[in-house]
Amino acid sequence: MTAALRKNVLKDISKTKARFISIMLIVALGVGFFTGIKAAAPSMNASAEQYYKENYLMDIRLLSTVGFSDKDVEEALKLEHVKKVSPSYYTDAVINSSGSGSVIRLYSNIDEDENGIALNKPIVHEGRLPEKTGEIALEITTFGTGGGYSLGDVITLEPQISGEHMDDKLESLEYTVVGFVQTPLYVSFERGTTSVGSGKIHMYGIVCSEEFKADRYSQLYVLTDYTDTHSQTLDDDYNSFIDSLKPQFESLAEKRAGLFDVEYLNDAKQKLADAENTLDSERDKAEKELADAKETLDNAEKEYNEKITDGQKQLDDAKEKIQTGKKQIEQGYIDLDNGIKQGQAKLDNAQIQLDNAKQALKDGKAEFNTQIADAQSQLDLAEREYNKGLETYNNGLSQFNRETAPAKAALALMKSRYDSALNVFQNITKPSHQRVINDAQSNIDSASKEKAELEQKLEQAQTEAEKASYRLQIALCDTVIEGNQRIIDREQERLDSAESDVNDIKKEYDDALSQYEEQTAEPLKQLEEAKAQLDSAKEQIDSGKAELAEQKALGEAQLAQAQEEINAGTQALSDGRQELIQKKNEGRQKLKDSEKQIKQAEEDYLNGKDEFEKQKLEGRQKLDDAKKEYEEKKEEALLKLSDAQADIDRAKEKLADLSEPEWYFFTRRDNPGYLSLIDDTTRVDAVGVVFPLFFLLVVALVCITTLTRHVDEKRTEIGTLKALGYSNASIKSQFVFYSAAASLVGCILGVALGMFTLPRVIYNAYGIMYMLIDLKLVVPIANVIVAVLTAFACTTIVALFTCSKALREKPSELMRPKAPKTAKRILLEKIPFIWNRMNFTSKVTARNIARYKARFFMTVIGVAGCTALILTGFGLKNSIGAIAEKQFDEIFTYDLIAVLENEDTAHRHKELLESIKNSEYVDTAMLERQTAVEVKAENGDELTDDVYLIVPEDENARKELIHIREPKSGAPIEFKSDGAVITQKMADVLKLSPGDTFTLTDNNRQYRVKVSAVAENYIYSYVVMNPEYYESVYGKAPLYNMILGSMNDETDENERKLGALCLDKDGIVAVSFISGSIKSFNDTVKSLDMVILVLLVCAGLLAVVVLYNLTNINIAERVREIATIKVLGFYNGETCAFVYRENIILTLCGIVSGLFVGVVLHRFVILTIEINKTMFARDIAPLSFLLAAVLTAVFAAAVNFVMYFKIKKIDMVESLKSIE
Amino acid sequence: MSEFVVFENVYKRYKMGEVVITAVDGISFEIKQGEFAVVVGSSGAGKTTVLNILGGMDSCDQGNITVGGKSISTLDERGLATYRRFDIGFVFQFYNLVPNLTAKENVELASQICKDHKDAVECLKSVGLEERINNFPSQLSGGEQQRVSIARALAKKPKLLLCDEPTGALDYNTGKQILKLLQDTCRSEGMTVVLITHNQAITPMADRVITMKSGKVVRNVVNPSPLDVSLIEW
Repeated sequence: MTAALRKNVLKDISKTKARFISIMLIVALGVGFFTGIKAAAPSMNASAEQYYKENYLMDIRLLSTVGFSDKDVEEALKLEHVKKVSPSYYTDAVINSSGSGSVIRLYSNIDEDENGIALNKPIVHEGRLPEKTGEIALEITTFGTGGGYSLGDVITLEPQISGEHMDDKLESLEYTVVGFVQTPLYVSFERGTTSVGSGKIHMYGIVCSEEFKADRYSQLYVLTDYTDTHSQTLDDDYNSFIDSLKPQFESLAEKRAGLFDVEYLNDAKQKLADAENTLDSERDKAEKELADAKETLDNAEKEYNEKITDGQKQLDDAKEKIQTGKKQIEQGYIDLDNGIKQGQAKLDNAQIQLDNAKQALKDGKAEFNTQIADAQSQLDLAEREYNKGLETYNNGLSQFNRETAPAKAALALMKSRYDSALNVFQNITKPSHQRVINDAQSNIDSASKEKAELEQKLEQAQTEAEKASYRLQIALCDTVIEGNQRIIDREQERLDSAESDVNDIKKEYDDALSQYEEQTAEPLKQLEEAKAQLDSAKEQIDSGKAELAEQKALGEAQLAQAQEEINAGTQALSDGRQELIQKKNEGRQKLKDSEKQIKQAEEDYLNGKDEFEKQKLEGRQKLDDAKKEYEEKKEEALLKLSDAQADIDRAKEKLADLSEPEWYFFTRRDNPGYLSLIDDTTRVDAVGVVFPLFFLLVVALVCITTLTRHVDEKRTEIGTLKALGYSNASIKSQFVFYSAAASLVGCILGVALGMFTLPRVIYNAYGIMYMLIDLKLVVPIANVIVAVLTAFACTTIVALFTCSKALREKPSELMRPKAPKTAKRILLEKIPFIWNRMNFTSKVTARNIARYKARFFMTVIGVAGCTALILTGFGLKNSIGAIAEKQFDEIFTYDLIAVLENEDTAHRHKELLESIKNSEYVDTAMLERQTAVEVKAENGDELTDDVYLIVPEDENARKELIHIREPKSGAPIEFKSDGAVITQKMADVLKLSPGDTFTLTDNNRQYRVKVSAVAENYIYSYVVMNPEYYESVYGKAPLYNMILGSMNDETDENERKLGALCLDKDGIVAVSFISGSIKSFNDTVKSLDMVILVLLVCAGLLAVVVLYNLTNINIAERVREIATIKVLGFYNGETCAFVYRENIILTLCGIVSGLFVGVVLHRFVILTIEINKTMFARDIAPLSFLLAAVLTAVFAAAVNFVMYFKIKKIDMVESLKSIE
Repeated sequence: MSEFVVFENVYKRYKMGEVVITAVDGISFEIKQGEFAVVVGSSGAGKTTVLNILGGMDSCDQGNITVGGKSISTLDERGLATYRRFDIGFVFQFYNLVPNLTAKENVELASQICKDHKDAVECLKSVGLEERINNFPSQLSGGEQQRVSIARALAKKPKLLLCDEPTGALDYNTGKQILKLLQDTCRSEGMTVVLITHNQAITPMADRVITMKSGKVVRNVVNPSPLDVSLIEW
């Protein structure tokens, strides 16, 4: 492909988006549906396989009439292919909750071994597994709103069912719910049958193995090594492998049966003998205990009497004490009053003394103040006189000083003259002279000294010269000395004269001074005397003052002290008063308290008295009770002993009854629901063939039409490319790419969507009926490849083919428009009667339809498919939904089922029946025997689950309660005594018709039964016999185990009352009402809505895609025509009608044929999905036909509505364009 | 005779992405009742657009158009459909017959939606096709198909017959026959006919010739003596 071509094809895709997407969608739809449904069955199988494997579902289950011992387990483990043998217990019990009477199968919990393997390992959904006795894990279906149980609930078991004591079998009869589990043993909601209660197991529970009292295991689970080497267990290989193991188990059973006597029976007999001995000793013990009890009782009586006497005495003492107390209180009041009076008198006295002291203090203060005032005034007087004297003295002194002042001044002048003269002499004159003297002296001294030395030298001088010189020199020295001596003398003289001058001046001053002193001596002396007198007066005043101050301070201190003493007295007095009041109150309070105490004591006394009386009575009562109890216990003990004796007798009997031990071999196929799951899965696969093939067919048709048109539209382009010289291959590759791209995307989308939705939806739908684990998606590679290849073939090959066809033409031809198919007269025109009455649009339509046959068929098939699918969906709901109504409103018209205890005698049954009949709520009632059986035809076909034998006792009542009628006509079937009536489903499966015989297995015994008629029935299968025929088959009269009754007004309230009424009666173990079954069945049907929805959506998509595609092509091809008629003046509505007429007619054809196809499809689906337990109604309601038709029409209308806009958009100018 | 078709200042613009193309650029003309008008111009002159607007297949952006005194420029979609239905007959270049219908049925296709219509067989007879009444278009020659197309247009008794290059796909002689048929119809029934063509040679047969160029009317001439078709040659 060249780049230009590639670009071209991509442009092409984006230009024709709608077409591309519609091819993609239809491919996705077809491929998705096909692969999705095809994936469902393998996925379901794989999920089941995984579930079984992960939870170690046992391969073989062994039961025995006598149970198993450890030795049996050991031996079984030695067999070939046996990997693990798990012994376990189970027992069936009836839950004792008023009204329900559900039968529960209790399994022992199997602990995981060292490899983590636990056979039939339960999945714990809520809570946990039981860990100790008294705990139970219930099955998950009973959890919450559906089952009504939640964690922590307590369930109680009926202590006795069918004459058996549950406490012989189980440790506890009350269980606390600790968990909710799911075991792989049960994949459906079928729980199997049992011999107790209503005969049907409602649920299972898991308890600890310690709970079981049995000394031998109830069953052995065996795990083989098959799964080690094979992954599939749902196939025939597995079944034949398991069957091949059967012989070795049978021979083991034989071997073990031979040893049963030795290993068990003797032992058991011994045990029984031991039990008898124990019983004897127990009896002795019991008698002794009774005697002891009697003695205890007597002692108690004695003790009681003593206690009563004692108690009476205690009461009397208390009374006396109370009276004494009262007296004491009275005395206390009197004493208190006296004391208070005395205290008051003392206080009054103290008050008077204090008042006196206060008065004295006041007087003393007044006197003290007077004295102080006197002393003060004297002192003031003295001070005034002193001051006067002082003034006089001062005046005198100043006068004296004034008078002596001139003399004093002259004196001072003289003094200063003397001082300066002295100063000059000493400081100037004397030193200057002295200095000269001193210099002269020092000259003398040095000269003297030199003279001395010279003299010495003279003496020592040898020569005269020398002596002469010396002498000269000495003479010289003498001259010097003499000169200086003269200086000294002169100077000394001068000094002495200066000194005498000074002394003269001194003498003058001294004279003047002594004269002055002489004159002033007298007045000075007078002044000094006055002064002395004043000073002494002053001194006296000061000392007086000091004394006064001292006196005053002293007096004040004394007064203050007295005041303080008074204050203290006052305080003491008020304290005393306070204290007195307090003491008074305290005394009162104490007395009051005592009074209260006495009152309390009195009350206590009264209460005590009552109590005493009461206890006295109670004691009496207790004693009486104890006596009564003693009597009862005595009786009970005796009864127990006799019961024990009976038990031992029964055990003896049982032991004697123990026949040859027999083992039973069961496989997984015997597990309830195991087979039907496999069947169902196979059916899903079968359904998975038809629907998807149908879809693929439509896919092919749509693709062919669309792509043919696509190539046609590209004629010119093909011609041009060819003319340009492109090779055929490269031109083809364009179209192949276009279609391959569309289908590839479609495939991916389809596979992804289909795989992720459909298996899950189907699995969930089946989840209504099965308890499985999460879905494990398995991709069915082969189917995916088939689907994808088909899709590719439908698209690419068609593209290739049409393109090749076009390429065979010459380019010039290609570039011209394809010669339109010649219009032909159609068959209809040969009938002018009709043709002439048709208008033009009808004629055009008729001719168009005839012209494009492929398109006609495609549309019809697509629409028919849509209608058929919708019809099938609604039909399924009709069929399945109807059966509850038919079964419980038309066939079984009874409302009440009361289950009887098996062992009751016929007499009791009649009695119970009468009492129920006579109830105000019941119309009719009858006895019936109903047991679960297995049936097998001559040819080996068999039904093992959900087959019941019913034997109604009273034929007249039967006609009202169970309507046995012909399947089609509904005519009632008369009972005959030479055969049984069987129901439709059983007749179908076993291929039986009236006159045939079949084998019926009831309680492991086989009987041959003849069919007298086949009756209509939907849920479960029934073999109905009248008592006569039963007797001829079984050889004994039927033992009835149920009462059926119809109610006159079946409200919930009445049901509840009736249920309680029935259960009150001895001999009725359980009661149930049909209304419950209807409800649960309708719930199941409701969940089918999901499946119907899937069908509806698929159908709608199918219709929409097909119609859209075809209409689109139709419009594209006729665009010119449409434009022309618009130009002619057709309104939009008329134009659409012109185009749609064809669509509408084709749709109508499709709807009509779809309804026929739908009926067939519905029947096919019903037959395929039908399971053995139910037969679905074959009819489809008229409403469903209507709905299928209307819904298809709605889808078509929706497409047309969308197309309206497309037509409206067509431009009229188109019609003018030349043909390209 | 009164003015039957009046165009007053009519505009029509197309938007081609960014560019606005004015196909009809403010044209005004009138055609009188019973006239045989030819609109002539080279391709792209806007004559087809004029015809589309006149035929109610398209609407103008501006201006007034009245046909027979009724304004059509203000009609909505449904009004236009009604206008086409009762007032207009259209003859296409490529006949545009419905291939699935016979000649008679094609005519009836138009007549059945008009209350006042001609009999289909009569119409076909009048265009000389009585022999071919029950033939499908694919069994007819081009000229015959165009006659069916004309018959279909006439069956509605339109007030205005619009012909878009009716001879464009036909050979010379057949074309002449068709033109003759149209002219005769105009003359005998007094029907107003508007014919568009690029062929100048046809103009002498018209009562009125409107020449268009680049979306404008360049000439609007009344021909006082129109020639008979047989006298025209091209």
